[in-house]
Amino acid sequence: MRCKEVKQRISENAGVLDRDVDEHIRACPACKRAAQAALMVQNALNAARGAEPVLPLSAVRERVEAAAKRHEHKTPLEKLMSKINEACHARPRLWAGLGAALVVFLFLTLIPFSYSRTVGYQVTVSGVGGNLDISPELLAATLSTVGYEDISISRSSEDDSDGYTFANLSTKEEAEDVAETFTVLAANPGQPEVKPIRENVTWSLLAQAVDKVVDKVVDGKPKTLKMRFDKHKIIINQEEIDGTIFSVDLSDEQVRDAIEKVLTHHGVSLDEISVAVVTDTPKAIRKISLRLPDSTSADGAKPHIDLYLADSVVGAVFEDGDDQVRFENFIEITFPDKELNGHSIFLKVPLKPVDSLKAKER
Amino acid sequence: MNSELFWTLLKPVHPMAAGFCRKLTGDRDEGDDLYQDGLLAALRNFDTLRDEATFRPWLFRILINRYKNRQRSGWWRRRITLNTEVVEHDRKVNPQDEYNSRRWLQRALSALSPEDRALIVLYEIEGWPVAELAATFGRPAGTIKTRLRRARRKMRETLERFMPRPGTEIIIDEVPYALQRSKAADK
Repeated sequence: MRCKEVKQRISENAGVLDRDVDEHIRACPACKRAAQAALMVQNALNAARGAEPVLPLSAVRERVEAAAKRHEHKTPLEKLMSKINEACHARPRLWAGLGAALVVFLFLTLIPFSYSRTVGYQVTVSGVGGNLDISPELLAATLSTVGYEDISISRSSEDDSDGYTFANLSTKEEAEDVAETFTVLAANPGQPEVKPIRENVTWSLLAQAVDKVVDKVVDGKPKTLKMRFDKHKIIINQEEIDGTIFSVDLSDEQVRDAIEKVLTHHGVSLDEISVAVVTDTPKAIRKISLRLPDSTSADGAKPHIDLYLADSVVGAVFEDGDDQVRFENFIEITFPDKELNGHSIFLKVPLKPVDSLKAKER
Repeated sequence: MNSELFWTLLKPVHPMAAGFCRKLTGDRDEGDDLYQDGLLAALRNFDTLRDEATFRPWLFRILINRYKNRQRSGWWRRRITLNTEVVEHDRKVNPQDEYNSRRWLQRALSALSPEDRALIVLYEIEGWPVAELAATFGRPAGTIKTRLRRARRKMRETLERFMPRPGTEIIIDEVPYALQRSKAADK
């Protein structure tokens, strides 16, 4: 007989040991010890049996009714405090946890800490070549045509080079955009530097966290998809997309699927934009149309963009209201803002017109 | 609230219920305190008792719940009750033996959860049948039996740890206790 089985039988039949068990425990000190312990438990339980004198019921009744009366005469506030006290005693861990959470919450909301927050961005460009003669006013007018109307621009001159500062930019993306625009406009643009404008405040940790999170939340704002076209690649929201979608070996459907996959990856619903790909074989031009639903935005912008791909050259064509055709290689599409109930497409920074494509298309 | 009916129904149950509270807590004063606390709660909630025939399990359920709450409220002080009070004892029994027996019982019961402790007291000491325990605890009879078996094994194992081994015991109040051994030493 094994010790495990013996110990089990000992627990079940304390004090009454059958012959097999008895023989085993004579030879096994560990089981003998277990049997002694089981016997002690049984003896202790037996000794505790039987009624012991208790308080008479009348005395108990008197005490309980006095306590009940005291409870009835309590004010509502005392009753509430008593209930809270009881609840705390019944669930001490829960209440200790809630108390700790409250302390942490108060610490996060009431104790102020010094905090440096970003209130905007500025772009500084130094060492611009002297042959660039653009006044801040002209720069402001140029930038306003691409959507930046409230930018404050200042120019400083040193020896044979100029420096420009663009301030009042609310986001880093805007600042980088402006820096890029300036790089295109200036022949020798120097090194644009995007710097955050910081403000020191004394806020609670929670307010600081909310401030940081609010900066990141894009929900409720129009979704923006920035697409840049290069010879062999598309860059969407600064992420480079594999250039294989331009391969002439791919069918139109494969190209369409690839573009749709890219758009979906960037959070664009295919209900918001439709993709069509058509190859004009004689002209060796593949036309990719990105179309928004048939509605125009309040500012009258066109609801579609066509991209043309040919001979490893990529460009986007925009047909404006006067039937003029311009080619761009940098577009920014702003997706629906529910409150505006419309769509808008912004074209930015005209770069190199792809004349060959234009000619082929015509 | 029919207070008179409550006290009438309590009368036959009173000695057992009061004794149960003392045995459960292992301390006379604490047991009486628990009993009164439980009766106050029962009196306040007497309206919730639908069938007078179920008064006993209903009352014991309240007492056990109050006991569980009390045990929980003292979770940070994890003390082992060693009953050193002077109790009325049966003249036929040696008081020293009775005292030792109580200490061993408290030691063994202290290893159990409040509910298992109540189960052992009701089944082993008060002699309740399994069916009534099942009704009081709201669990199937099979579960009650399993829990009783486990509780007994746990009590045995606890006492085994405290039983003296040759050369390792210390004597407190003429009672031999085992010196605590580390788990490594047991291996």
